[in-house]
Amino acid sequence: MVIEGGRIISAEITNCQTRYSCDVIENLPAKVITRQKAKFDTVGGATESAYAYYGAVYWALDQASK
Amino acid sequence: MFTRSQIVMDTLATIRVVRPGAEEAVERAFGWFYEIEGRCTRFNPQSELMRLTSQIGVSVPVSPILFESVQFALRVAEETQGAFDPTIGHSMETRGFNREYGTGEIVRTAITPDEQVSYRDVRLDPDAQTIQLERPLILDLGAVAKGLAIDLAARELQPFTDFSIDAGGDLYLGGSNEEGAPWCVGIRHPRAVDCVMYELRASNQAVCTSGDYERAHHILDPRASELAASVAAVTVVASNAMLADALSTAAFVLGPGDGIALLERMGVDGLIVTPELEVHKTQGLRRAA
Repeated sequence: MVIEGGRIISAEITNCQTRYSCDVIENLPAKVITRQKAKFDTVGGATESAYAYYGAVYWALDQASK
Repeated sequence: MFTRSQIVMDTLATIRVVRPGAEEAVERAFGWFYEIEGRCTRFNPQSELMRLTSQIGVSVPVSPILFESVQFALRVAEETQGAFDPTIGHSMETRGFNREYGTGEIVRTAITPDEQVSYRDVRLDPDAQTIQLERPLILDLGAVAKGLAIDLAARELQPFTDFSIDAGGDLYLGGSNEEGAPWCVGIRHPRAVDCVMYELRASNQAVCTSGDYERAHHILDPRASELAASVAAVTVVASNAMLADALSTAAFVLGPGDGIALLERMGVDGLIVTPELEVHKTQGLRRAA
């Protein structure tokens, strides 16, 4: 996540290459991780909203500010 | 396997490339999502798409990306006689699909409401690369733009042959998986969303799904300005994602009978699941079962 002047410039999840704990990644987009470990290479479906992932961003920001 | 995920177009997109050395290509691939979203979103009054709405009756020169997106959407609209119609933007906005996902801001476009607009009110000039809106309307490219972004991202990754793009459940599978076999794709069950209801193998194909189970039901029947209700989910397998994305939306609106007929006529495969969980398949998928 890149923060400049108090604004989020960019935020991305890069499969355990982020600056915050891998535990955070593993807990949040859990369904995705589970599917990747399952018998399927990938799983298709109706488009999921990104709102859940913004929860991860806010949590990470909150932790970073402490 | 190189894997990278980013939030694009209100969803989490993941790109995986089997061979090493793809970092820069993956960066460029994600760049297409941002480029197309920036031009084609109806949630930003300053986007190229929304600037058309402020120039009714004027022939407006546009970028190749916007021209191609609108031209394709209009072709699908003609093919489906309006069951798919990119002029539903204002209907979507007034029905509450009006929140920009990044900022949370509510979008309210100041145009005179007109429920009677249709794709016939949009004029294209391929030579001049211009678009003219004949009446006050808002274009919605939600069923086209992500597919186009997936296709352009796939083009960036073609030199690496074997890769997958997952844009929140809409997929493109290039070449083979790590084992050298066609990619094994599961399709989510529309009512038990952690379960897979169908399995298929795909190589150099897009697999796109429209359903009523994520983001709340959001697919309008443009002909009635009502939510389409006869289908729970449609999955389309096609050579490119823009086609699969648009046809899955169109088939969702048309319902099982006409929807399967459309997919057969367009030469793609697909399956349609009704709210009663009846599964309807194209001939190609029936043969594969």
